[in-house]
Amino acid sequence: MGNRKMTHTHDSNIKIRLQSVTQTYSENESETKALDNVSVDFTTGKFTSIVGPSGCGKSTLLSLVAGFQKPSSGTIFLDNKPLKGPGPNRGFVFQDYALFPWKTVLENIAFGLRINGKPRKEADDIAKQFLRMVNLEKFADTYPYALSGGMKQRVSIARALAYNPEVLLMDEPFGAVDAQTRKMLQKELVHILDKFNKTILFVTHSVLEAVFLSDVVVVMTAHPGKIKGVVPVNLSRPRNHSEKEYIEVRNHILTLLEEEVEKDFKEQNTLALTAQNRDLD
Amino acid sequence: MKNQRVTSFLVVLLIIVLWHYASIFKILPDFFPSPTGTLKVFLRMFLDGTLPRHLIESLVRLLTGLSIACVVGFAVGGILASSAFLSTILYPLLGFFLSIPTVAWVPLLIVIFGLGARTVVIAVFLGGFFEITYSTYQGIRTIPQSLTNAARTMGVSSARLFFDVHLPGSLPSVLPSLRLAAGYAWRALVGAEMLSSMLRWGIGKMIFEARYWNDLGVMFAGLICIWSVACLFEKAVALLEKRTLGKWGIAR
Repeated sequence: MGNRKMTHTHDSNIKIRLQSVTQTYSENESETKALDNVSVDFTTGKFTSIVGPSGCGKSTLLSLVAGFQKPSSGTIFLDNKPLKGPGPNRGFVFQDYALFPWKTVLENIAFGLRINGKPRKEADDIAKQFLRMVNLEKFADTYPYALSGGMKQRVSIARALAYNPEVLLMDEPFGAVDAQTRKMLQKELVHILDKFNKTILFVTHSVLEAVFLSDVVVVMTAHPGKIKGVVPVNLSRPRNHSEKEYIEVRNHILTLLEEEVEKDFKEQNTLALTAQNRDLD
Repeated sequence: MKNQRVTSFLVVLLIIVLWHYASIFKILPDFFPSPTGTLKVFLRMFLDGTLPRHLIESLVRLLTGLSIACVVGFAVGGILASSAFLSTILYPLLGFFLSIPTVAWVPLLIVIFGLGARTVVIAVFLGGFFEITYSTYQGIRTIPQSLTNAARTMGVSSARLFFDVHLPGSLPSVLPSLRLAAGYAWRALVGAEMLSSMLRWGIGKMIFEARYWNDLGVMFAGLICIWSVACLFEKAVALLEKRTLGKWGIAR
């Protein structure tokens, strides 16, 4: 990354580029650095996972790429153009599904098409196709509350894909479902995304999940959030959790992470001890 | 639920029976009408068309004022929720206005708008407006950020964001307060009708005029009307809740 510096080359392989991005939150006069001078590229058409300990700013990074918030400093490029707010060239899948409770499953999926100018009939037809893709065509007229967590997330994925964004941003999408459903959804996601050529940014705290799904895994550190390493996963799909190479990649990432978690833990211990000593004085 | 209804009915029946015997045995003062006397007055006024006219004039004022309060309240609440700048300035004012009983405005309104129906409609508007504005504002603010973000990432316009996300999303807060707003508006109406002396018709007017003749029967007939309208409104809001929040599986 050294030769890139401030001038950005017109590399058509780079879909999203973060250049020296820092994000700070101020609360009650104390400042928290969620991201500290982060520079990272995301390749077109690749599935990139972002893993890291909690509080490493991985969700912040995703929210910045979505355009929900603006970085305190630095620039984010999408197709070599500085990013301006949210837009339909990106789709977002939330951990809490974020389905509109007042719209039926079909209306939820069709909404993105409708607001981007598709007539009702066409929007409904496309929405139905996507609903079939996630095997929920029977639930077209159901309201989201009646669905299970796993079903809600499948609707949410269909909704994010239906209006055909180039980039799909997924923020711990399987974080709120049980382990069994989670495995099933992971497999289904691999199957679905196989049909599209999307650039995917996938935030998760599960290394296993990241290695199972990704072409590239970005490992982040906490306090403040920085990029610790970028690990390519050159394994054929479908992947098997017991393959030797699979385990090697997983262990490599885990080692990177453990260093961080330990460091963080020690720091917190030191902080706690200092606080304790101060209290004793 | 069913038991509750039966109990309520029995309690009302008991009161009427007690009232009846209290009248028969002259426990109540002479000017106090009996249940049958009240019913007679009610029927007479209903049949000669005076009671319906009073009631309809009141209802027209109520619905006019309240509809305007809903539309303007939704709009102002939506604007407040979408602008940090405006909400900082106007939020304290909203608290101030909410704390003032609407009837307290009526003398002021009479000075500005005169003693006619206009004053009453504006009083009704004020009775509903602040409550609806406040609950729309609160309702929109409590919509999960991810829902708004989901719409934003699809490239939603601010108009569609309001109508497709903010408006339905604020209903869990708005609908219960619509009950309150209607109650406040209804009270404001009756109060304003009593004070606006140029009016000839209106339930409030009817009750207030009856004091010249010590006619408690007319007053009771008026109270029954007020209570019935409140019940109808309650039913209407409940139906609205069932058709929206109930259908969406949102618990109130």
